[in-house]
Amino acid sequence: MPITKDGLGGLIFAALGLSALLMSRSYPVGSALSMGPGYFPTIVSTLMLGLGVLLFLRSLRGPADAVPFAIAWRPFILITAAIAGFAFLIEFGIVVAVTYLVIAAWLADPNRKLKTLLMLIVIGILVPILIFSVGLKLPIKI
Amino acid sequence: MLDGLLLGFQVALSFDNLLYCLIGVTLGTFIGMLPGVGPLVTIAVLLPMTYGLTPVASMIMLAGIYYGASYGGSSTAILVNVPGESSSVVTCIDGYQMARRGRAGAALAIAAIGSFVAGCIGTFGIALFAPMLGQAALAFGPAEYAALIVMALVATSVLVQGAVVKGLLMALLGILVGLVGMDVNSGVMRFTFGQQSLMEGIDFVVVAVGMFAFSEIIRELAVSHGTTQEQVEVGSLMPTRAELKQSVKPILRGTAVGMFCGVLPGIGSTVSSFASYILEKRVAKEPSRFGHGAIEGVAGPESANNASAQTSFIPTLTLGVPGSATMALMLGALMIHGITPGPNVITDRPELFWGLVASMWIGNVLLVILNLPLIRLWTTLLKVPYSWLFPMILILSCFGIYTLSNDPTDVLMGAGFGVFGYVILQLEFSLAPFILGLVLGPMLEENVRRALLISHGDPMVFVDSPISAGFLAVASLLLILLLLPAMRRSRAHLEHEA
Repeated sequence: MPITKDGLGGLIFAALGLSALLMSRSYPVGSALSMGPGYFPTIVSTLMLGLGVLLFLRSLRGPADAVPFAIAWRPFILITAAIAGFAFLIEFGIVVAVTYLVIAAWLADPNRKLKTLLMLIVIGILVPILIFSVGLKLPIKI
Repeated sequence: MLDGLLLGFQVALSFDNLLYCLIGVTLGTFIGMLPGVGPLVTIAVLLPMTYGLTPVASMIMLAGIYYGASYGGSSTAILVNVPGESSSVVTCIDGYQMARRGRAGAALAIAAIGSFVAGCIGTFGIALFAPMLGQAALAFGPAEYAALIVMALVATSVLVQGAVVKGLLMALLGILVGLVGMDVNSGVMRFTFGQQSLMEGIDFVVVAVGMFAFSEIIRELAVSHGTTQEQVEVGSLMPTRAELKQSVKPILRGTAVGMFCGVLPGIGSTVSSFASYILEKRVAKEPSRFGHGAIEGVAGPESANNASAQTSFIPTLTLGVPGSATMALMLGALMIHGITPGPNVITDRPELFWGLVASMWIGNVLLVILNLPLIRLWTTLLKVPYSWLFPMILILSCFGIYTLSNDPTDVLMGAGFGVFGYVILQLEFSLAPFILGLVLGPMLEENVRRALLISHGDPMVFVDSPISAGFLAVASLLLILLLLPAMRRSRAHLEHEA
């Protein structure tokens, strides 16, 4: 039987809760009278671990998903790569970073048309220059 | 109150603030009409650009986007049967049917009139009730605040769509992310993974843009946006005398429903519009007309969603406890300016509070002017394809995050939140409890700490005070009710009926 969305979600949150709980244990817990930095995170992450496990266990008895879990890989990877690439390229200036960002994003668009790409790049470069460099006078390399 | 309103109009009518109000409502109308771009995404993207403005101006503009979007969303619902906003989903039902019968103009006019009336009464409601609530909240100690925050978090978690447990998990995760950084009381670094840049916590904008803008773009691109549907003719904007007469009561009832729903945590404008629609259908003499172009089905919900958009500011401003994701973003915007909303805001920053209230009324006037005579202009904007829009949103988002502190790591973190947000949305979790937890988490910890300090570590402090016990009782009641299978069925029934 394939895992349901609730089951997968439960596992993710249980894992997050568990790791947060382990990390919280390294902070002093203190007492109720004077809560240490670990007191509150311990409660929150324990609750998260518990509810995550509950969600997973409950999903085992529940019906299968009507719409199975799916990721739209093309936009998922391309958009993430576009943003991450922007982070690395912005030190070379707005023109380079935006050109890359727009091309990567354009490739993710199911309705992309070649003739709009150039227009998007030009406007995409002009708009942030006008807003951030000219308008807000922030020191960003063009 | 009169003094307050006078001061408010003085502030709101200054040239700069009037301009930002106009920008806000225009932008709001625009994005309200565009499917796939909502007020949440817009506010998240614009947050970093409001750093340079005064707190009043930035609140006026962001608020304008919020209630402007609910105006714009109704126009697309009526004209092309596509709700621009989730709060206008119900408007599609009868609004589009009216449009198909050639009464599009009348439906638009009634929607605008209803929204305007609701907006005016709503603004008046804020002016009347917010100071009262603020006064009452002055009596709140840390225990009461902690209980109130717990209630707001639980209410938001259980009332969002999907399983109750999933909402609670998102709220808990939001709290944990909110705790990242240095603990103010002990100086201990929490969840920073040894990263210096995380010492001051994760910037609110990074999370908001990542979770709301980036993840939403990926989701929208997964479905192919075809060419826009054929549009119906707007026709005459004048409603007939009979139509007007039929709409008066639904508008007033919708306003009441919306104002009530707006104050409650977890019940946003979407729920209030559904509630109003169901109410109108129940009280109607011929319920069978609904679904075939009943004007009451436009008037009621449209008034309700605008009224609730207004009154949702009451708990946000006077208690510092937002009831929805959008309000959490507003609160975040205020905190960026170093203002902690709470009962003292009205007395300490009267120009901010009353200026915002007055600007909402002005904004409603502007919206009627913008929407009715210019509706044909707006409909041409509907033809802007998503292919042109999303690269711009992406660019503005990236620059918005980057310019926070000129740190590319922030952009990478934003991408990370985008990835997480997308996966979690595909797993049918809701983002609203998360963003509320993020904003309220540190407040909750601080209030629990103080309450326990005062009570010498006795946890009974949370049930000793009747106010705090009341909040916690409501929270528990909500949890119990919504975990019962019978209630879950009736909720599904309610959604189905609407």
